[in-house]
Amino acid sequence: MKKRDTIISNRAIKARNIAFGTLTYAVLIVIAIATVFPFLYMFFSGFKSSEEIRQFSDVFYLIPKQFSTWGYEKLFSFNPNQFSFIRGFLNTLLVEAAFIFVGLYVGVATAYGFAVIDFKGRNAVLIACLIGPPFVVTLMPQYAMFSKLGLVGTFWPLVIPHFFGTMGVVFYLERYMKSLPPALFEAATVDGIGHFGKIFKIAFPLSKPAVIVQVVFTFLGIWNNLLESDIYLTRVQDKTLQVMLMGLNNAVQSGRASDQPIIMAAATLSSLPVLILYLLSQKYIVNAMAGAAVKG
Amino acid sequence: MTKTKSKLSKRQRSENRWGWFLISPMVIKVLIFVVIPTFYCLFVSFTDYNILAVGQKFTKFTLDSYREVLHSTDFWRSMYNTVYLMISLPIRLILGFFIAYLLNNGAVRCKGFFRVVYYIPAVSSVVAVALVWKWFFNTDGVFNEIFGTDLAWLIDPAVVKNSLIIKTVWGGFGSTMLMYFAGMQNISEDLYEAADIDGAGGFIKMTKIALPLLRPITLYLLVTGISGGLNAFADNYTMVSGSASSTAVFWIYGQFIGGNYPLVGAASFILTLFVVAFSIPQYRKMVKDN
Repeated sequence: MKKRDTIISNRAIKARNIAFGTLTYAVLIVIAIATVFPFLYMFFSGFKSSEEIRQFSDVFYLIPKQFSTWGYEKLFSFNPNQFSFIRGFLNTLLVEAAFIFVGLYVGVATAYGFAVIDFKGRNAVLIACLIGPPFVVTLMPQYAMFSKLGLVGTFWPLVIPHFFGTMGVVFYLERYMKSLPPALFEAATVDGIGHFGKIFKIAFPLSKPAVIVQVVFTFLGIWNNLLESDIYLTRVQDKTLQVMLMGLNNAVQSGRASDQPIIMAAATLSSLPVLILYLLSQKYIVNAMAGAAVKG
Repeated sequence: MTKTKSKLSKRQRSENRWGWFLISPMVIKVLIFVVIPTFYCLFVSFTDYNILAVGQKFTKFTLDSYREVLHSTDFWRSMYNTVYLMISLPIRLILGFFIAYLLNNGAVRCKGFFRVVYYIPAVSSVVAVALVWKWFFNTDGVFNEIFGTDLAWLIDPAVVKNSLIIKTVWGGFGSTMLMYFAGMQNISEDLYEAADIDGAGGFIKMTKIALPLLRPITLYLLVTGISGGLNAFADNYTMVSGSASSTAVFWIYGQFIGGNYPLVGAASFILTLFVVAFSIPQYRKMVKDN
């Protein structure tokens, strides 16, 4: 190929790249807006007044013509036996605490047991644990068990499973710890450090990225747990936040659009904690999700 | 010689003990919360046993509940719905792939920003999000106002499943995009440059280079997507009041609430057969990896 031809074709490619680049940005931005649109809608609708919604019920617009805290005031003066943001939030945190203060450490130790210690029967147990039936299979028997123990209506059915560590933490960290250099643990053995020392002084701190990912995902899983919270917590004031939110929607929205700000205010408040958690940990989360399929 | 051997095995014995000790919580958990319940569920499915009735023992072993499930048009309709709702899976794959491909273009800046934004729906409060979508789909809600339509998005039996698919695509394309994007980062630039020299356009590069090389990721997403789809439950639970879009798990949940326990057992195992059939590639990979 002659040199001039190359220059021309390069220029053509460059022009094409610029056009393509602009189009790319346009598509990416439109999709980004569509992605966050429900959240923007949630946030802004919480600041409309009932009056405003009634007045402009036929047209769509996003930003309130006049910011009003009507929805939030109504929300916090709601009959606490039907909905209480604080109660729901604390109920959820109670279950989260079982994970953060107990389940996480049990899970880390279990992951270490699977990943670092080479013992007989390891692989068989690992596979047996990973092959589980769909959750509906265990739903009824677990309910029967907790019912016979007289624990339905208490927090125990939600909390007890976390005392044993969770699948996600154990098997995600197991893979991560396996990738740590074995020499680290061998050196610790030579130094006379026992297994618990190796777990909490070496494996745990070195697995920080994986621990963060699993803390966030497990926190989110508990936050969004609907089924167990609904069937085991029988009293309205015991329900976790997300389930309580469903109840609020049923109580408020008897088809009246004008009450929408109350629901959107509640939705906004209940979204904030996990949204903040995600934004704080996004670097780890996004990379972990990206790696899920590449590593398999 | 014999001394070292016994010393080694002593160490190995200690390691065995430590290993089992450390994994014991998970073993106990799996036994109590998975293994025993699975057999219990299987047992109940073959009886007429009302597990919660005080003092009642089951009277007979029977195949009645399996017969009832297999003859139930409601159950099969819910299976059909489950499969229908999985239309969202190929859409998520294509959309995720396409966006990842755009994002992978070297000239695009703020890649990190876009990746973080696209994944937000997957890490948000489920009910809060469901309530917003419920409002979008309302008869005098946002979609009808914007599009000038007059649809009963969540009520009309002919529409509701498609509405749920739209919402599922919104909530799920972020993760497929992230995985495809990660895979594309591993594709050598040289391949694209070679294609450039051959005069291949963007579409050709996308379908002839990226797509075949990312097949393992597509496979992974398909397998996990199908087993996730067979377990679909939450959207019906949070957004829909009718039964026109009821999934298999949601139908089983309804039977559970209604107290029809043997039926729950039978239907759960019929569903499990499907899940197992579609999870075989995943199991094989798991066995191979360990």
